[in-house]
Amino acid sequence: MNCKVLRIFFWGFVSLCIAACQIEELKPAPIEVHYSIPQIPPGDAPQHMRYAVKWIGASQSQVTNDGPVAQGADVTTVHINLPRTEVLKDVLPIETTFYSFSYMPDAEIRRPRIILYDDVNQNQQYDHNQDVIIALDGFDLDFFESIFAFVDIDNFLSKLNLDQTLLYYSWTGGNYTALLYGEVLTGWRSTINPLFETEEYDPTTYVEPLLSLNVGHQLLMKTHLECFRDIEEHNYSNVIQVWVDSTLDVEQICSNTNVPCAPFDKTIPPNFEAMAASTEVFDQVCHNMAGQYVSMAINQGTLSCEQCSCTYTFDSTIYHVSAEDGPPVWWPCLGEQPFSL
Amino acid sequence: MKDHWKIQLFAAMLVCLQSLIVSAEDSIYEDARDPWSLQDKSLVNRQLHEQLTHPSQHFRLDTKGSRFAVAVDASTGGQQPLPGTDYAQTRFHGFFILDSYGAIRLFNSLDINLNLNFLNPSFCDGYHKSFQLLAGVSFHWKKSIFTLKKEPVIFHALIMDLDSVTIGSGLLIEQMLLEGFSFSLQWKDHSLSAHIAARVFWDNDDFLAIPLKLFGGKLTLLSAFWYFTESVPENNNTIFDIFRAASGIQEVTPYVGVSSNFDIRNKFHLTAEYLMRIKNHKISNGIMLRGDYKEEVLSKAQFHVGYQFRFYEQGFGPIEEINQASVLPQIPERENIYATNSFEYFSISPWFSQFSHTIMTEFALFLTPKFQLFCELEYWLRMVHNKDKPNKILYVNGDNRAPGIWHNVYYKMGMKYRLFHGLPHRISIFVSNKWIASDTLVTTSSPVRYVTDPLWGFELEVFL
Repeated sequence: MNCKVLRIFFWGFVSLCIAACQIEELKPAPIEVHYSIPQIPPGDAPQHMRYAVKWIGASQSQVTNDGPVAQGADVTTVHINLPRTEVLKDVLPIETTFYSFSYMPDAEIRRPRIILYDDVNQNQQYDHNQDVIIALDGFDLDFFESIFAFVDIDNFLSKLNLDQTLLYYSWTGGNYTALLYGEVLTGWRSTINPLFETEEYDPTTYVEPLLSLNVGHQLLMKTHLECFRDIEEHNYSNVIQVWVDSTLDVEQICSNTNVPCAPFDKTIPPNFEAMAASTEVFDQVCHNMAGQYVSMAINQGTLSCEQCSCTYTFDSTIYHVSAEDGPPVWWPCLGEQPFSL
Repeated sequence: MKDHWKIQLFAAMLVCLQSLIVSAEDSIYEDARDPWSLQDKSLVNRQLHEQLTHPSQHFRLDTKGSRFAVAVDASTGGQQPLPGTDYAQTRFHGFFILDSYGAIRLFNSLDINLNLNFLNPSFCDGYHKSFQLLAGVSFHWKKSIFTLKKEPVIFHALIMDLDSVTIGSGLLIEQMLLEGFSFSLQWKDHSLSAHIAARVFWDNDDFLAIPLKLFGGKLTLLSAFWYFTESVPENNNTIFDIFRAASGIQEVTPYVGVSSNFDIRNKFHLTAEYLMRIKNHKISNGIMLRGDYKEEVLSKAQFHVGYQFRFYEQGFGPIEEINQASVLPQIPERENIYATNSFEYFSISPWFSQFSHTIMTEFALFLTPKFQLFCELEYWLRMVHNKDKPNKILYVNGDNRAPGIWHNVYYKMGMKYRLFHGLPHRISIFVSNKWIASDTLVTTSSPVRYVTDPLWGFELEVFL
């Protein structure tokens, strides 16, 4: 009887030791993120809308995730994995200070690009030259929420004490992952502000990320990707024509300008649709000028980008009508902007 | 009937074993100092008369026949990086320590003990700037209150400074400096005690242990309760909850178990402890086994080799969620206990099961009556794994990744030179990688017990 007890104890001890030795190396988990899809008019909705998660480095890039987006969906779920280590290290770094959570140590952090695109060539993967970008994460914004990745999550965790480790797990919803989300505060060279409110460990405070994608000009979005978000933008305006209501003193008004200036008949509306179709950027700006005149500028712009410097060149046509008579019914800003007569 | 001879043989073996075992004479009440390790040991703040009249303390000031007893352990030295290395010096880089003990014995039953530990960890900080004083008072009342079967029943009451405390074999608490209360009834070599300690490993914890020691500790039935005053229960609707709310205690973690302790011919030592934590209808187990062998050769050389196994099942620790434990005070005498300690297991216990094997060995050799070489080694293998928290990892002290297997080796080796023949006053020089991790104030609780950089130390020690 005693021998049996000893045997059980001995082999129990040995099996416990063996079990303890079989410790598997845990890998950081991917993250699941929801992205809201920008509203697209039904007629303009692409047929083959997909998302891609692209890690863009100085010398190499990697698309880690690429998947379809359901037609008409408001939100799509994106699975994000870490790229290869060498790619992750090559991705443009984000300066991190955790300034509002100063008890967290600094860490090397990178940020992926989330691309919503129309798979024009239908090869089910993002092709930068052929596919059309519909929206981008963090495009043209200085303050937004984003996913980011620790280059070496274990190195970061090794700098944390146990209390800080619990905060990390509150932040991740209890998962060991190098992919977290936070607020990007200053554009392309960003600081990341961890998005968690609690200073006590409470994984229930975890909120599943719901981030947004932003639309913009196709050329600008592509340049945004190519240039690691670092784009200089310039505007250049050129007034090409002034039109003055024929009921006004055309000669006096035109004497104040050097550009071509002529009367127009305000009962005949200009063809704005044709103007908009013929240029990349079209907008209309209305002004009330010192109570005497109401004016409108039709800006027809073109965008060009070279070496991360993009320039809008606007050709403007300016219309003047009498403030006392009021603008005609076709006046485009009539419903949007009150005029003080 | 068939197994009758087996029972007789077993009984005979027990008698034989009993004859080999030397009864552990517990001359100092609840003395938690490790009698098997060769590491240096300081005095404890009680029964100073008994300690100073022990033959091993012959060099102390004579207190025989006096109501007063005084002893001082004075040391000065430093802990510095080795030449050519980039490690930082420790907080005790240029220190003095004057650890003084005083006792007054009244009515042959009541001792009033005062431990004043004057220290300055760094003379570099400025003149007397970092001087600190740790003071501990203990009232120790030892009284025979009645006789039972012609043997006295002795009552002990120890109040405030419990000094170094070990509960059972050390599965829960081992050689921790604590304050609180301790009461005991002793009859022959049996005792029933209650030890109450405050601020053990966390700022909001208290601890109660009720050991029933039988046969001088060969068998101990142990129950223990770890109290916390932080989280508030949601439903205060039972009598127990109302009591807890009134007392400020919101969480109690109970333990029950058994430990056993055998010393054989003063050379071998075996101890085992099993405790179960019963809480929220869940049982978690803890096991500790330890064996030691100590030998002395011609009064010139001593060596000790020991082994201990510990198993802390996930959730065995007293806390419900990961919470960093910390200890205080952080003074150099704490370098003279093993790094393997229950303290190191509890912070992460809610997530991880932990196994460990530790080999401890010390060696001391007098080359001449004054010149001694010494070496202390501790190899600690920890296996940390998690069953039901598969998606979590964490780091302990920056190096140890859990789950994982951790190897830690601690060493201290060097030489001691006795200044006077037959007296222990000495100069020591040694290298080590186990240095106390102290903050500016040694009473600042620290989650890390040791700095493990390889440094060298030197000390001049005088014992009065």
